[in-house]
Amino acid sequence: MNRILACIDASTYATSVVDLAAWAATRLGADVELLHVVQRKDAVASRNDHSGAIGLGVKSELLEELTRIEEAAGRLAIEEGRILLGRRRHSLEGAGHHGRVDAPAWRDRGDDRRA
Amino acid sequence: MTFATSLRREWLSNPRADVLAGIVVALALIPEAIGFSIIAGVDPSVGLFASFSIAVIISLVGGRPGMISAATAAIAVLVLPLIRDHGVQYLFAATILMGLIQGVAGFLKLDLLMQYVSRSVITGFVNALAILIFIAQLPQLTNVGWETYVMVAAGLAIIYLFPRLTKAIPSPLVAIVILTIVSIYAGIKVNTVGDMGKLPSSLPAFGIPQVPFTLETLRIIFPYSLTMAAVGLLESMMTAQIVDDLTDTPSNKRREMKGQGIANFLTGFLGGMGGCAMIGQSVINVKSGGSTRLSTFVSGAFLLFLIVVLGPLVARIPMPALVAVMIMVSIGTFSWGSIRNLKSHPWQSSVVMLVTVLVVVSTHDLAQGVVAGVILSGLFFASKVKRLFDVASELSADGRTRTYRVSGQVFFASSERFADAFDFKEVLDNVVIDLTAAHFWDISAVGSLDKAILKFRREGTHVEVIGLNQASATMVDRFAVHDKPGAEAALGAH
Repeated sequence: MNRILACIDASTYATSVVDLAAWAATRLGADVELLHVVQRKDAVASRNDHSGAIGLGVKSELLEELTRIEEAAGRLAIEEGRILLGRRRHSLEGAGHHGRVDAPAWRDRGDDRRA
Repeated sequence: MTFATSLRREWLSNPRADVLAGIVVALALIPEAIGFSIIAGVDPSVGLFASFSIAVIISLVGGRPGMISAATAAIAVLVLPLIRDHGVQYLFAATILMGLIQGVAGFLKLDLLMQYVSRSVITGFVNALAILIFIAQLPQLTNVGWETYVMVAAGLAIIYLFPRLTKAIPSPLVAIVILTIVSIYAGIKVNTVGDMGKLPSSLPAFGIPQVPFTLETLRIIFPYSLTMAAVGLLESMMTAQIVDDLTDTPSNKRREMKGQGIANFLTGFLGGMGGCAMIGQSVINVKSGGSTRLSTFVSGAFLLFLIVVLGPLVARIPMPALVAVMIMVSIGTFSWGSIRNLKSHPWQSSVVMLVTVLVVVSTHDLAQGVVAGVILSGLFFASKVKRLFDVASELSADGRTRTYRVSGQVFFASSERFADAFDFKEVLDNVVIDLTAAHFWDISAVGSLDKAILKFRREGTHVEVIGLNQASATMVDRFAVHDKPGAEAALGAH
């Protein structure tokens, strides 16, 4: 079975990617799979603290703070990804494409190691 | 991972934040490198060159991006007697050998040993390290005038209060600059860095340590190199774990071990003392936004720039300013949560932590503390697991057969209880030992089963062992003697 993987993000290119995937799918009689990779927020680089002072319980406080920042950003990114995929899926169906439209979510943890 | 992706991910994922963090770390490394040189009893140039060289080399070959390695307190406290008795050239030779040992340890996959270092031991190690750093400041705080205490207090006040004003510049640097200016203009009589020894006046040069290449030299340096290598790897592995947790990214511990080896090996030739990863500096790096190899590289390169350009100025820094920075590092390294946890954690964990701290503080050797902690946590574990053991028995209706049901873990610590569970005085025709629910772990367990069987046989009782599960069966098949000829003679020797 043929399947077309359309990789999308929040950029404007996503529109043409989805349009072309829909076109190709219609001609080939294939399914379209939408893929959106949730980007990992790197909280370490986004803190602007160059005080260089370390005090009581600095390790646990820093871990707490980084977790809090990444947690909020991560939730937002997942929600945005869902909306993004939902909209594209809608436009695929609107274009009269009735093949299978999957909407998987993948997380890039920046640590995928290939052996 | 291809070269391009690793370059982007490990070096250039966020250059601006990494360069800034590297600069913050370099500024904090100066007082530490000087402070640790003084602890070891060598010229500040030895620690400064070491910090430059280790940081730069480890940024290229290490396995944990974003971790800072340089000359450390843990190594400095170890080498003091070597330098006192034999001179600084032996330190360079010991550092080279330390690097070789660490490289070999990396190839032997000794990072796997870290699995046996429990959390309590790690906490004890970190606390002991903090205490060692603090103790090392005491010579600067005894037999000195009141000016020193005032300056240390002022330095600490600046370090902790200045960030409320702005977090754009490192507060330890502000403390050092202000205290230096004040002491020069007010003419305060306190020790300065220049009084502590020679500062570098040129770039480090490659040279072979001037020691006789004899077995005698090896005999002198090998024990030091071995301990330095062990302590360096321990602190590096623990720091790597802390950076892993903070950044939520994995690291290659084995590559880090080999990298530490390469860094120390080369540093010895550059006239530097041995070093390893630094907990305090690595936390400062992550806190300042550094998480890649770039920040580590910048910290080393900028450190060299600073000491070569600012050398004459560095000599005028008053020692109390450095002491204040080192006290900050000590406070930042100490795990304060562990004091609170003393009450809530199981007493065994607290004992392991405290014993690790006590052994380190009394021997000034972090490796001995960790060994003590690991042995103790192993003993506590064995004594907990041995309680997972029970023997129940029932007599058959005709009164001729007793069935013992053993369940739980049988190993060296519980084998005595296992042997005591049988009643050999009871007159029986048959004894059935049901081991279906038991696990035999070692030859002590097998040995006590053998003994029990032989004792029953000597009473004229027929013994049947049933339900040895697969794991226990392998153990019994390999080691037991009760079903082989000459069994009694063999056991009689015990």
